[in-house]
Amino acid sequence: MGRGTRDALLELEVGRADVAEIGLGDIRRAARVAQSMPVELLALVMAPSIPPEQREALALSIDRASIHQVLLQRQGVISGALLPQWLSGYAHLFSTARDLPRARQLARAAPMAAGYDPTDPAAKAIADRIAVNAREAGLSLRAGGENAPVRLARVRAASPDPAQALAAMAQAFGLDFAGASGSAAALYAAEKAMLEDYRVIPLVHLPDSYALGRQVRNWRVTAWGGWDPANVWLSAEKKP
Amino acid sequence: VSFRARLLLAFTGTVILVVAAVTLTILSTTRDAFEGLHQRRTSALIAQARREYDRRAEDVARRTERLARTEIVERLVAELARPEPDFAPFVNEARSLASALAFDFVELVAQDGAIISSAQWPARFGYRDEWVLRTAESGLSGALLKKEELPDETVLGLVAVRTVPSGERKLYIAAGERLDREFLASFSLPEDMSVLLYRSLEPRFNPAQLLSGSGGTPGAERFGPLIERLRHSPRETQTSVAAIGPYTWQAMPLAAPEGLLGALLFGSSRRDLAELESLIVRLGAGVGLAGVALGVAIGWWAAARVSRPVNQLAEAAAEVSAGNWEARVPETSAGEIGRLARTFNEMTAHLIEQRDRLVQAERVAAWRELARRLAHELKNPLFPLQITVENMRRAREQYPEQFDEVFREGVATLLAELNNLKTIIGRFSDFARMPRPERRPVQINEIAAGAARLFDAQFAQAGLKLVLDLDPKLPPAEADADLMRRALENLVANGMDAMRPGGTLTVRTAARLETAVIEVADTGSGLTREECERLFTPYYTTKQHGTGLGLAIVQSVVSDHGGAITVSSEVGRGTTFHIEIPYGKPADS
Repeated sequence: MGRGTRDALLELEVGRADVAEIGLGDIRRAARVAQSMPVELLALVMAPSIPPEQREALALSIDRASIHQVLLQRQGVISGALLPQWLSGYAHLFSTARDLPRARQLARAAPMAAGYDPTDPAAKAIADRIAVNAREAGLSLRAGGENAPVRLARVRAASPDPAQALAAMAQAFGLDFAGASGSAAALYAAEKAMLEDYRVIPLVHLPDSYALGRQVRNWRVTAWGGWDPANVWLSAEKKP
Repeated sequence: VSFRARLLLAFTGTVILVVAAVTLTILSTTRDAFEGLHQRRTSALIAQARREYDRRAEDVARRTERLARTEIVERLVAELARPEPDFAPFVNEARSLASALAFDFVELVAQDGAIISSAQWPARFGYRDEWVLRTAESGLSGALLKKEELPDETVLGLVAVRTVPSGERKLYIAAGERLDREFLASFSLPEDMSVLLYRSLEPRFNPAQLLSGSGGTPGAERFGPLIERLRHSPRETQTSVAAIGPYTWQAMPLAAPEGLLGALLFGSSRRDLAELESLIVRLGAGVGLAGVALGVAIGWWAAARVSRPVNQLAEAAAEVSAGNWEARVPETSAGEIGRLARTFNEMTAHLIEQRDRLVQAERVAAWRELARRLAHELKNPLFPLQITVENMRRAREQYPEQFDEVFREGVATLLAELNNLKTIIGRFSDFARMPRPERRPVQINEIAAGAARLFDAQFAQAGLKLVLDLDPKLPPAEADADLMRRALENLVANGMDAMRPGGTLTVRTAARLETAVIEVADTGSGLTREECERLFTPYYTTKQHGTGLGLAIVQSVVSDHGGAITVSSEVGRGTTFHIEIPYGKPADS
């Protein structure tokens, strides 16, 4: 991702490639796009050492809409849940609203650092934005730093089965998941229990996005982002 | 303090005062001249700073104008004209513009003040920049000072705002550059001048915000009072700051509509002035010391010229006072001192002349008194002698038969009167041959008691009373016992002769610190004041048959012992003789 996706997109633009993976925030550069369902969660993960009030204050200070609209160029879906709406059906029940007054009440000025993937320019921009939001709430958050107690992470849903996907997600984030029956209500309760201590703050569910060249026809992406090259064909249209 | 010392002090003080006054005057004049020079140089530097500041402001405004005509801005303006503009694609464009036009700050701001894109803080998109709105609405053209917040710090910037219309909407473009060390480095300063930039970004003075062209500013905290004064009254002011050597600092405020945002501090070194002042002070001290030395020498010489005759006069007067009437003063100088010396010498000469005349007169008087007394004393025995001799001649011529009897009686009378004459002559001879006292430790009380007891029989016979009031604590005195006894016997005899029956004579002794006191007091008829004054004159007596030598002998004895005798008397009440004899030997004995 990051630098690699931009290079691939550049090669697509100059006609050296027909399909290129689109990185975060680059979707508007692509003329033709093929996307999967939102299968990857972009979330803020906080270490248990951070006081719960600080974690909650940070969660309430984040302006997800700005991140989604500007930095991600409306790529993906804003979410307050671990599992995407299309998979669980209850993600919309998790609030994504920003509550700055409440965040200011909870915030303490203890300095924190937010780590991110240094090879991903969009991740840095998102971390910077979160730092600005946190500062507005009275938190002292600085983007960058190794082994930071706050880090920006991307985790894919591992299974079309919500329960298995939630279990995998919990494992990936290091959350306690005691298991749940297959009912949506049970899953919702379990997910809500996992998120209520604000150790993980879901931000956006992102799809797998691909830029397609002008000649590419019948390119399809599965819900999980898989390719279906069997029916793909290239038209005779000249490359630019 | 002697006259010479005072004269020296006056000379030295005058020299010091003159040198100090001259030194202070030179210092003051020099300081004024340097202050004026430094003021002109600093003013020139401030004028240069103003020009540089204005040039930068114009440059920023000009480049912002160019920025407003770039293709990116045109696209943004087109987007802005759409009913529902989407600024997301432009979120990173400010950085591109800043890089292209060499700005430190570029912000693209929507009509409502929301930041579309920020070069200096990209993550702040969507937040409002009120300063840009206020500046744009104020209509101020050109670049203004702005407190620019960055993710990690707040800096001072020179920012221009341009408004680009887009239909009924507006796009604001704010672009500028930092005011930092690079700005300071643009000044070409003389070697002895310095410039600092203070960024007033916090409510209180922060030494870390004071920048110099080369980095930090040692002793920056000492600029606090100047900055605080400037903050309360943002106008050019000048004050001295001792933090970084001898510099005079003049402040040029960098004000914005919202208040003071910074200040340029121009320092002019006072090292040259300090060195010159030090040189002047050292020269003044040297000249002062030389002047003092010269003043001391001249003062010593002058004081000697003036005070030597005065001292000689004082010494001569002291000698005259001590009895040396032959003392003379050299009449070497002219003027008042010389006249004084001549007058002094004339005075002593007159005194000697008067003394000699007096001595001669007294000597003649004494001889006359002696002749009178001798004639008186000798006349008394001579008359019986003459009568006896005439009786004997008449008896031989007229009564030969009785001549033998008359002869025997006459011879007896002649022998008696001759003895009387011999006695009289012996008394005068004794007075003339008064021996020098031979001192030994004696008890004055014993001598006084012995002299008084000698007359016990006469006192009883005359119906007089003798009282002895002797101090038992009287210590021994160095005295000639025989002479003291003779003197006291004379006083007791005189007192006895002066009293009628029933009188009392008191002999009293007392111990003083250095002298033994002897008093002989009678209750006789007393003496007049004139009699008291002449009482110790030889051959003066108030008695019919006295020689007038008794009290003279007493005074001679007391004087030979280094003592003193006085008399106090009251007519009708009595007379008291008061003697004081030192315990030890007199210094000249």
